[in-house]
Amino acid sequence: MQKKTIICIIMLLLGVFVSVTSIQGCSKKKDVKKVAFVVTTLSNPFFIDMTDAAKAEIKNHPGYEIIIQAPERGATDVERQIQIVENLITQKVDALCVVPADSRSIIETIIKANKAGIPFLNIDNKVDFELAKERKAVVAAYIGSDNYLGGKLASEYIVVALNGKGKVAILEGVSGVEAAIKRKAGFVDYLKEYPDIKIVASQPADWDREKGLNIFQNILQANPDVKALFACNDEMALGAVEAIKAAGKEEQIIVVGFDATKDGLAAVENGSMAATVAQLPSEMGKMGILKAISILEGINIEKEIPTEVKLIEK
Amino acid sequence: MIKDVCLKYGMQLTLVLICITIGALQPVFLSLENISNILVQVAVISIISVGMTFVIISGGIDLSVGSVVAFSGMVLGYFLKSGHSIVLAIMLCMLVGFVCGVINGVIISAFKVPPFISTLGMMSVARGLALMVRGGRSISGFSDVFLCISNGTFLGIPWPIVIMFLIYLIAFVVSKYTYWGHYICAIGGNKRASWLSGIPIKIYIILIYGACGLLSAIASIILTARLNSAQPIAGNSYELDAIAAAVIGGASLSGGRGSICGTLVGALILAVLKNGLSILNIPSYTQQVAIGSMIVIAVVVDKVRERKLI
Repeated sequence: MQKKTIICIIMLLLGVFVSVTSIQGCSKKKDVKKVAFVVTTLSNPFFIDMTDAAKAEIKNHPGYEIIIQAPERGATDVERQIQIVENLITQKVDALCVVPADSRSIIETIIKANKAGIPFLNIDNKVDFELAKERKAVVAAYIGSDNYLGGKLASEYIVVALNGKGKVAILEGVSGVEAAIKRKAGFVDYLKEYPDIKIVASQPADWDREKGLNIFQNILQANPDVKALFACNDEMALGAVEAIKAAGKEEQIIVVGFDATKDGLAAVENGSMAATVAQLPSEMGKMGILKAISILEGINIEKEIPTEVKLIEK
Repeated sequence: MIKDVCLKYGMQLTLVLICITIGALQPVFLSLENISNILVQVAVISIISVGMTFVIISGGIDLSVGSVVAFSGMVLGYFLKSGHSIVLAIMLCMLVGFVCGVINGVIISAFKVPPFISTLGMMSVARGLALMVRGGRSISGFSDVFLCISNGTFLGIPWPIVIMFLIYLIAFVVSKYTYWGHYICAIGGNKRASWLSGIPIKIYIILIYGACGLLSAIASIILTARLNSAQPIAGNSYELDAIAAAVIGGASLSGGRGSICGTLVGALILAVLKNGLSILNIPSYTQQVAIGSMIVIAVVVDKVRERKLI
């Protein structure tokens, strides 16, 4: 009786496991080349757009297959992403397209990919090139948008909208991440030429909508007369939009986001956001796959492949 | 006979079973390279879990371990970068972790604050301090000598694995063969009875949390070397993995029961699942469903087994 129960449960355990794995695990062919695409999270529409485009592109190339993975707990789980890439290297994929969760910690893993002879393509969040050089890590190509320029575009828009005068706030991305630093820097540097525009608050909201809402609510408490907000991504901008609605200040504050996600574009369309800087995640996904395939077919490619940024307003 | 083995080594068998299943589906999983991969990947969490196990056996909980990993790691990075010797930086890092833990212990034992609240506070404080060290930035690019902690090997075994097993050996001996281990169990089982029988509960609780902080700091040394970077956002929600590892390994959240070996098996089950599922190319959403259900199923099996034993 006891033995039966135990065996039953173990069988159940095994059953669940096998059924879950066999859904995906069975589609393995030997002669197919695998391109792995690793992003920082699959709960952000930006990366979903990116991976969807990558998935769509790989269908045009018979003989290639895509593996899409991301840390379960999101963009701050740097170590988990590195584990994922290590696992892919062990598994001997043919090429790696990676959006690093952190621009420096990924470098030790790039070295491992180099040793295994797997080309490493850096997408979106740029690897710290100085440290990479020092550690002799080779990145096959960088594909991503110009974040500094994007920040500058946002500040240009706000300067015009405010007639060069007023208080502005910034919602930053995850502290220490290259894209977060560059976007803010582009924004802040351009505003230096306009002393009448004052940055009264600049706080990280970790790319997260809920944090964007809470933190901007706090900022509004301290600075009720803020005139414009630059949120370093649309998720935070949309959170802030909720805070503005709750405070009834839709007319007073203009919000500029970044990324032009589907939600962000809809908000620009209905006027709750003034503008958003468009990165083209789908372009990055597509280019990542195209360039990875070029490398695997022995075609030389550029080391830096910039993808477009542009300001989208209504 | 089979029944006895099943009853005694249920969780170990589950681990073996999972390994065989994944290995059958994808042989790469059982390659030496991948096994070493898994052991290196599990080192950080499993070292934190040792401290967590002691805390849980004593009837408490420590939510601050992830933040302490980040803070002590940042201190380590700061002193490494400012040109101090590696030994000094490591000592300071461990001191910081220990002090964070001791503060938890003092607040819990002297002021009778529930461990959940006290360590929740420390979780936020340590994270804030970690971010303050360099204004939210990470510290990267350490010397090759320091990176040996993650890259180097001892008799062909990577250092993180060696350190992990050493710590488990020490913890095992402490929990099985010293007064320390028995007292922790007694405190978790019945606090008042232990106090009446003359165990200096307060001092023990302070030391238990101190040890937990110290072990988090040791984990942060390995993590920092592995990433070649100290991250203020490192260790986010590691407390959950550590608690899960301890509980899968048979620790009781109401205190008084738990084992160091069990925790190692628990941590390995988690790591093997994560590694195995990503090697099998299971999409990340499905992975979360699979890992979550496996954890619960594993503990259910353990509970059934336990009832049979009694």
